[in-house]
Formats: sequence, structure tokens, C-alpha cells
Amino acid sequence: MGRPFEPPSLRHILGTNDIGQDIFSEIAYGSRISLLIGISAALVSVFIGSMVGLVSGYFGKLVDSFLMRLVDIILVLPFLPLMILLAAYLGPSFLNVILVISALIWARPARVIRSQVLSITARGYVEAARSLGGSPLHIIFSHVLPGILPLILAQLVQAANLSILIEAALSFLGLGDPLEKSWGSILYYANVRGAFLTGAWIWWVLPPGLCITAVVLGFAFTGYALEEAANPRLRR
Amino acid sequence: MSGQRRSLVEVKNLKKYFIESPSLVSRLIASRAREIRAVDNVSFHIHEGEAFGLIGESGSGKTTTAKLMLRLIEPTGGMVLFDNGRDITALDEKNMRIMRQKMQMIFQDPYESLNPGMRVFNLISEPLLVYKIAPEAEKRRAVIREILETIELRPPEDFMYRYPHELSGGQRQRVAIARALVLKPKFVAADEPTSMLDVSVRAGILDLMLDLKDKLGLTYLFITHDVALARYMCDQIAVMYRGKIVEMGEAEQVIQKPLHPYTRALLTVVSGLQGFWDRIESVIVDKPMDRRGPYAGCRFRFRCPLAQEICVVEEPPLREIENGHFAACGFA
Amino acid sequence: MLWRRLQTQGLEGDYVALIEVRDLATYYFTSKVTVNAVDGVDLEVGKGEMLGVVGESGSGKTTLALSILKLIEPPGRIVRGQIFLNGEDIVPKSEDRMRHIRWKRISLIPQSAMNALNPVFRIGDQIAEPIMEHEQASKREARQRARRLLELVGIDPEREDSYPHELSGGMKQRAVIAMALACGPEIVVADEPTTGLDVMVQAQILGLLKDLQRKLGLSMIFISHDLPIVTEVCDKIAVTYAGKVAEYSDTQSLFERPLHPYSKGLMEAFPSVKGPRRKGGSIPGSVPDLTNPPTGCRFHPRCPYAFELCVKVEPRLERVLSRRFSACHLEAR
Repeated sequence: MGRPFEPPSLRHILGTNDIGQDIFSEIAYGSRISLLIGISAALVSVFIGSMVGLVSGYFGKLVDSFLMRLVDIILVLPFLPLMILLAAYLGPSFLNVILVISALIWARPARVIRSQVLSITARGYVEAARSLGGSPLHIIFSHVLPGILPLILAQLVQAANLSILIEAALSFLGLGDPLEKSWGSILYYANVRGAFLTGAWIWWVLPPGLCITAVVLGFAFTGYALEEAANPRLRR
Repeated sequence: MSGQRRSLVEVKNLKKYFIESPSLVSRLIASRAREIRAVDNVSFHIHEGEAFGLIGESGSGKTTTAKLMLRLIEPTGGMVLFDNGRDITALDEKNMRIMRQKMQMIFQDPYESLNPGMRVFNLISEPLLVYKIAPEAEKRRAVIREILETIELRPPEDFMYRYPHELSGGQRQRVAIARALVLKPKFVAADEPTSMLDVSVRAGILDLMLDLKDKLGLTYLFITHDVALARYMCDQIAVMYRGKIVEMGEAEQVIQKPLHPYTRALLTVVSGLQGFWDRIESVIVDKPMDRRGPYAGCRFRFRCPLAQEICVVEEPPLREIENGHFAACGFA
Repeated sequence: MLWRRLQTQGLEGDYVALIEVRDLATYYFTSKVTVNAVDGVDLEVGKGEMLGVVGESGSGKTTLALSILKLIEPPGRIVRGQIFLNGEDIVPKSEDRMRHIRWKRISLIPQSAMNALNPVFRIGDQIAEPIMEHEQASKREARQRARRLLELVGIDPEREDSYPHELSGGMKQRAVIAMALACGPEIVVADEPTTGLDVMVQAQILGLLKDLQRKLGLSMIFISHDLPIVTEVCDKIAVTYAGKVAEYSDTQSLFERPLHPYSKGLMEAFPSVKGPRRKGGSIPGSVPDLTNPPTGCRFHPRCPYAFELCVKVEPRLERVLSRRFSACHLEAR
């Protein structure tokens, strides 16, 4: 602990915040939370999305219509207000943040996976599997799942990306878990405690912001690369 | 000859009508939904050990008939009786799947019918695993080795772990045949199995299929648009046009003495007589659609050089003209 | 040199070689391998003649068609040979010059032609387009000529305003033929013009092509894998295998007595409705990999008559009889 609003020095590499806490250590610990929330939310949302996409794409008809209408609703509702509403309603806690994020972002993977499932089930080898006597379960496990796995991976990365951003936004607005310090909450405190009024924003706001940006970019590029690799056109 | 063998598959009044799935808007605008009668009251039987050919051009309903027979699509009407007269159209999903072991299909496109991500070993294992035959990998390997020998992919070890893209078209189709045969079915439907293969490779596949028919006591349904191919492969043939059978009988008889004007036209065109193009008009005409629609009277009347008034009014039934030789035409 | 050879043999009549291809080779250069798609092909088409080019996949027939029209794009390139159009070698010509030649003197009916029609334009417009472009005609003139072309190919000119999806497969093919004839070329290269069509429609289109040949004195190079239909309509046939010509002769002779073992195998591979029911005509093995073709004669691994010379030395296309050429060591013996 140092003096409040200390500029960067050898003792505190990124200076201190308004109550004298070392910003660098905040960022270091905060990364744990940001990434944890990001990855958990990604896993949950993509799991839900994939299940929905799979069921919808494979079984079609009423189930498909119903699920896709649900997806459409989620995709159509304005993101930010919905996010704020949900977070405020559920209350600030680590688990709730993950819940909110998952509820918002499962829809896109659902659509994407469903498309891929539709294209796989239209392939000749699925018809051949049916004629061989394969049950839906067999077809799903032997042909559909292996076909959508690469895409799920790509979706996971993109979802993690989005989750980290949403978490940062939520925390910045003060809707996140007040007990766990994440990059977003660092920014929250920075904003609320007058970092912009002093010159302190340079070492208080910029670093967490840059970290968020860097991680998001990194995930984004990885996601693009994975999506390219998952592209069935490249198969062979 | 066919009278002595028992009937293995019987198709009775099989129908498949497709309704063009209308959207809400078109339902409001159009006065009635458009119905496409892909297969319209088709009946025939196939005897055990026989190769039965279904000949027709695109839109004739031949592929749809085969899929109906294997219940890959549900019929709109009629039934399919298999092996001791069991109506397979009435079976539930579970029992149908058990029945499938006995009736298999070889598809037209060897590039599509095999999952490109699976090796030959896994591809041929698939049917075995579905029916829980030889669940241990070692036993399966023996079975697969044997079947690879049967379909002439030698040495088997060389081919077992290849991916489809490492095989030629002919080799892929052989793998497809292996998949169909590994379950020791009684009945095999082959949908244009060589049309997507190189010409020089086709006869090899066809000869293999004929050989296996004798060796394994199979019964074939062979679908093709190529009359000459049907002659090569089949004992009995049925010619389809727009969902109906227009002629049926012993292959050689139908081909050398065609009765229905459509069969006659088909044969004139493939007979390899130079100058046939000058006589095309005498065997096929092009009349426009009339108000009564395509399903009134004889289906062929729009292209038949012999069409008359009665052909518009009455649909000619498929009747026996000579011993075992049927035709659906008033002028046969 | 084919033409000279034929000339000195004293063929009767005016044999005017409209197109003469000499030792044409087109290779595709990819980063990993080089595909010798066409590797030394000789052929010729006379005025008003129909030449059939028969081959399976990998024979190089489509590459040949595109080469003759100089439509080969990188990574493909014509590496050697000459293509004489009325005595003029078009291989060295620039793209600019070729644009004047294409469609006006030589045109193409591409593979899957029916799918080559643009679905958002009416067929009348699509046929008029080359006329407007190559002959600087006005839209009205071009449309008028398009109507006449439609009639020529057997489509009711009233249908000039139809869109491609409103036409049947056969009619689409006719429309594409009309497009190819739009600027009155002397020779048309048709790449699998009837493949994918129903049997009956195929017959009608073949009839049409034969009719056009007679009416317009049109020359044609008919490329196909379907030997029976090629023997129906063509005057001469070149059987190609793995980028080379295996046999080249007039249709009647080829039909009665094929010289090259591959031609023989191919003829037997097509079952027929007349004559013996089963002939047993499959050629063992499969079409060779063009990135690594067999040594010597490319057909030797599959040839029932192959002997030691076949493995070592590649046979050249030699005159065997007055109008027949075969690339096989058997004949030389």
C-alpha cells in the first residue's frame, strides 16, 4: 500500500489508486477474475447454444420453429438495456454475472451450430447411415457431433471474447460483484473515484483498458483462425 | 422361370404425392396447393435371386420408388411387403430398423455417401456397430478384411486405413457396396451405382455386383436411366414414366419387342442407328399442357406420337399383353 | 505433321483444315505439383466436319477445349504447340486479338452449359449480348438476331423474354447453343453438350447439332466421355487418354475395328441393346495420376497387350492406314 494517487514508480509500477492500492497487483489479480468469468460464461453459453442448435437442426419442425423464435427474440432485444436489466434484477454476484452473460450470448452459437447441423444432415452419408439402420442417436454421435466440433471450438473462443467484454461493461457500471476485483471494476472505481479529474487516469484507466483490449484482440484473432480451420471447405 | 421362385418383395399400389409446401402467402393467393405425383399407384414384385430393373428418366419416380421400398421416405399410400409378406410400411421405427438389416441400398454418388472424415475401417464398421455385430475390434477387423477381399480391394491391409479421398471413384463405390453387404442382406437396391464413375471402371463394378448376386444369393433392385445397362444387369425390367409403370416384363423381351410408345422411343434413341435424329419426330413429339392437367388420362399423351382422344379421357391400365409382358397403352 | 501427311496421301475433295492442332501441351503449375493435363495432342477439323474428342476424367479433354479457345488461366499455361485457325497460329496471339477471334470465328459451349446461363437476365438479352459486344450492333438489331437464333435452335421466338428457370433443361441447352452461334462462328467447341440431359432430350439436341452442321456448314469439336453418342454424330473421332491422343480415325472405321487397346476397351465398356448381352469390357485399374504419369505408354499398366517396349518408350501417333492413326507399339510391329 502506498499513498493515494501515486504516479508510477519503482515500488508501484503502475502507481496507486485513490486509497493507495497498487494498481499493478490489482490488474494481476483482476485478470484471474476477468478470464475466469469469461471462460465460464463461454462454456455455459456455447453448451446451451450447441444443444439448442443440435436439437433444432436435427429434429426440425415444431421444435425447430419454437427454438428459433426464442433465438430470434433474444437476438432482437436491445443488448445493453437487457444486460443492465438482468444484472440489476439478479443482483451483484460472481455467479449471477456468469448467468447474465450466458443468457445474452447463447443465441448466436445456437444459430450457427444449427446451420451446420442442417448442412450435415443433408449430406449423402447421413442418408446412407439412416439406410444402414442408424438410430438418430447413432447419427448424432457418429456424424453430426464430429462435424460440429471444430465449429463449437471456434464459437467457444468468440464467446469467451464477448464474455470478457460484457463482464468488463457490467463491472464498470457497478453491476458486477463488488467483492471480486476484475478489470472492469478497476475501471468502475477509477471512474467513480475521480481518476479522470486528476492526471491519474493515465496509469489507472489506461492499463486495465489496454489489457481488456489486448485479450479481446487475442481471442478474436484466435477465433478467426479457428473458424477458418473449422471451415468444411478446407476439409480434404 | 420367375414363377418358380418365391416373391421376396412386393410393391402394392404404392403412392407418393408431394405437396409443394406453400408459404402462408402463396396459400392465400393460390386456389389450391400444387400436388406432385412422384409415384402413382405402382405395383410389381421381385422374386428371390432376381435382378429387377427400374428404368426411367428424371422425374419418372424410379429413385423415389426405391426409397419408398426401403422406407427412407414415407409413402402417401400403398404398401411394401417384404419376405413372407410383412408389410414394412406398417412397422414402427424400432422394428423397421431391425428390418433394415435385410434391405440395403447402394447410392449413386460415391463421393457423397461416405463420410470424408472416416477411414475405410470405420466406414465398414459402422453397420456392424449399429447392429451390434462383432463389437470387438479384432473380430471386426477379420470381418472387414474378408469383405475387402470380396469386393476386390486387395491387399485389404492397404485399404483398411485409408480415407475416402485416398480412393478412386470405383474404389469408393466398392466400399459402399461392402457397407451394404457386410450385414448379409437379402435385398439390395442400387440407385445408378455407376453413373458417376468413369466409363472404363463401370463394367468392373457391375460384374462384381452380378458375381456377388450369385455368390451371396442376393436380390437386386437396379435403378437406371440407361436401358443398355438394365439389359446387362437385369432379368426383369419395368419402365417408368412420370410416376407410373408403362411397361414391364422380362428384360430381353421388353427390349427386343417394346410395346409401349415410350419404350419404343427410348430404344430407338439408344439403338445406335446413325440418322435416328431425322426420325426423332416419329417417336417423340412435344405437345403443350392442356387445361385438364398432367394427371388426366395417359401421362405420356403430351409426347406420344400415337395419342388420340381416348388418351386424354382414360388412363390405360397396365395389362398383360403377352406372357409376362405388360404394357399400359391402348395401342400396344 | 498431320495435315501434310493427309495431303500427301491424296485425300479426295477439298480438304480444308479449319483448325489444326499440333503437339499442343497445356500444363497446370501448382505450388506442389505440375499437372500435364494435355501433353502433346495433334488433331484437325475440316470445314463442315464434326470431330469427336472422347475421353474419361483426366484425359485432358476440357483443358483441350479451353486451350483451343485460349481460355486457359493461371496456374495453367499452354507450354508448347500450335493451333492453326485457317492457317494462322493463334497460340502466340495476345488476349486482345483473341477477343476478336473468340465468338466471331470460334466459340464454346461450356460444360454444364445450362448452369452457365445467368438467372437474372432474360434469354433474349443473353443471346443478344455477344452480338452487341462483338459486332457493335444496336440492342434492337441484336435482339432481332437473337429471335432468329432462337428459331434456328428450335425455341419459339416468343420465349425470348423468358428467364432461364422458366425453361426446361433441353431448352436451356438450346439457348446456350444459340449463344454460341450468335456471331456466326465457323467452328464451335462443345464440351459435353448433352451430359446431364435426359435420354430423349439428348437425342433431340444431337439432332439439332447435326442439323446445324448441315444447314450452316458448321464445324464442330464435340467433346464427351460418351463414346456411343459420339459415334452417332461425328465424322471423325480422337480418343484421348491421359493427356494424349491414343487413336484418331474416321468414325465408321473406329466403330468397326478399333486399333488402340484403349479404344477397344472403351467400346466394349458400353453395354448395348443389340447384339450379345454381356461382353465383359472393363479395363482394370484406373485413370492415371497426371502429376506422375506412367513411363512409356501411359496406358501400359492397364493394357492387356503390353510388352517391354510399352513400359520404356512412349508410342507416337502414327499413321496406320490411310485415314487412321494410332499411338501404339502393337501396330508398328
